[in-house]
Amino acid sequence: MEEALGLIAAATGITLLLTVVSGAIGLVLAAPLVLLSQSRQPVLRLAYTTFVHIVRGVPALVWLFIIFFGMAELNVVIPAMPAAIVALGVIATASMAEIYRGGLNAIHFGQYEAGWALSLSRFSVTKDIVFPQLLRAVSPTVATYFVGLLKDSALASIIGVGEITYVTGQQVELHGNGLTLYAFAGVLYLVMSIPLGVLSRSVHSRITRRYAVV
Amino acid sequence: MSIHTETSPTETAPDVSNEFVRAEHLVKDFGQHRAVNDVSLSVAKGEVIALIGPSGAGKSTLLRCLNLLETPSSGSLQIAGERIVFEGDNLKRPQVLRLRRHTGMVFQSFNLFPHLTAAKNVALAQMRVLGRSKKEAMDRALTQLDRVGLASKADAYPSQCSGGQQQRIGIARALAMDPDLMLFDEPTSGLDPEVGAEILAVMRALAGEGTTMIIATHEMEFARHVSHRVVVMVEGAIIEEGAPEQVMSAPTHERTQKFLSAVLGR
Repeated sequence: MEEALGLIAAATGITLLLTVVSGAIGLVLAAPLVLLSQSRQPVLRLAYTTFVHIVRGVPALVWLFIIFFGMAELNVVIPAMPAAIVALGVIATASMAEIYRGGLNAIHFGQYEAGWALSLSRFSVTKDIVFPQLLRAVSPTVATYFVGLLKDSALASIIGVGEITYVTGQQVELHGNGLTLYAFAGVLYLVMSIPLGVLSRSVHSRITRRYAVV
Repeated sequence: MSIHTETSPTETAPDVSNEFVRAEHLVKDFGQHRAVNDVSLSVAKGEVIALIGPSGAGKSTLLRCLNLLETPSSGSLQIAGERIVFEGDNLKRPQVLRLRRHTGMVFQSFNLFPHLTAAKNVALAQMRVLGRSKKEAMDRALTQLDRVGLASKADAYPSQCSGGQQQRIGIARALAMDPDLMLFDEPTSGLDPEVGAEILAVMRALAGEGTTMIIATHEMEFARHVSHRVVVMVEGAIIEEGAPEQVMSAPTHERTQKFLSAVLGR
């Protein structure tokens, strides 16, 4: 029993790795992606909408199967962990882009105009005016997304990634005690997600206090 | 505090031969709609112009053409010796920035940067555009905030300031760039009349100091007493202009009479 708990706890590293890497991919790649949605070219905006709808319209589990089993059928063998990172990372990219887009839309056009009227360059308007407001606007939603991603990482157990849920399943097969072991797995997820939630709420309340009337 | 200055600018009339802004045959089309229709306007250094007219007359669009937030469809514009002729998409970014540098704008909706304190709102463009050091920019920001009576709000965020205070910070922010021409786009329209009076006092003081200003406004008393010249716009065109007393008391154009009787309730 103790050995089982130890093995499950040790899988925390894989769960965190999967969450952090795929989340980081989303955080970074969503930035250039969301620029497409702001383009003056209708084709680029359409490309954005199409990509986001397709990625987010298909369940994460189905993406995992497509990338892991589907690609293998085409003789492109992707090991389980990279496959999971790609699947969750691509979904995170589309979701984060939508979060960024919401944040951008929340910034009043007058903010850009005020910057331009002061002769600020486009770069400076982006860096000094838009970006800081965007960061503050999206950070609570991004934190919430990370909590969701942490839980979604359990899906990777189905293609055999040795993260918490997978290892727990193995241990239950071997030793039984399903209730105890899965409850323990649940506690591990909570221990990781609660600090994120608290952090997100404190950031959010700090922002709303400062920007009560905008 | 300078907002209490009571000099009437009309007593110190600017030298109108000293032409400083010259807009010729400006046109701005938005698709099928002609928002600014063949507007020509000259402004002398130190002159205060009140731009009046019904809503939708094109006052805002004209102001926004003067600092190139809107690119005029045709016509020409000269400010402080920089001249641009508008033909199609010929506008070059450096030209825009050079001409814009001469102007400062105050918006109806303030448009302060909510993530920056009042002082930093005023300091930002000084550092980024004029290359002033942070210390110099902040020092000057405090001077400008003091000028509009808000030195005590330097460290406050816009959300912690009243509407009238926000608009005064907006004025300080524009002034800190040492503009040659100040554009005011209905600066009191979003405010209670009482609060609007604070803003008008600041603008009156600026006029007294010889600031060149074009003010789109519905404040007829202010237009009458503070401006050197009243310009009436209707449907994108200037239909009448002249000394405030003349335009307000004895308007020649029928449309001006109709507008004035509506706003003055007579």
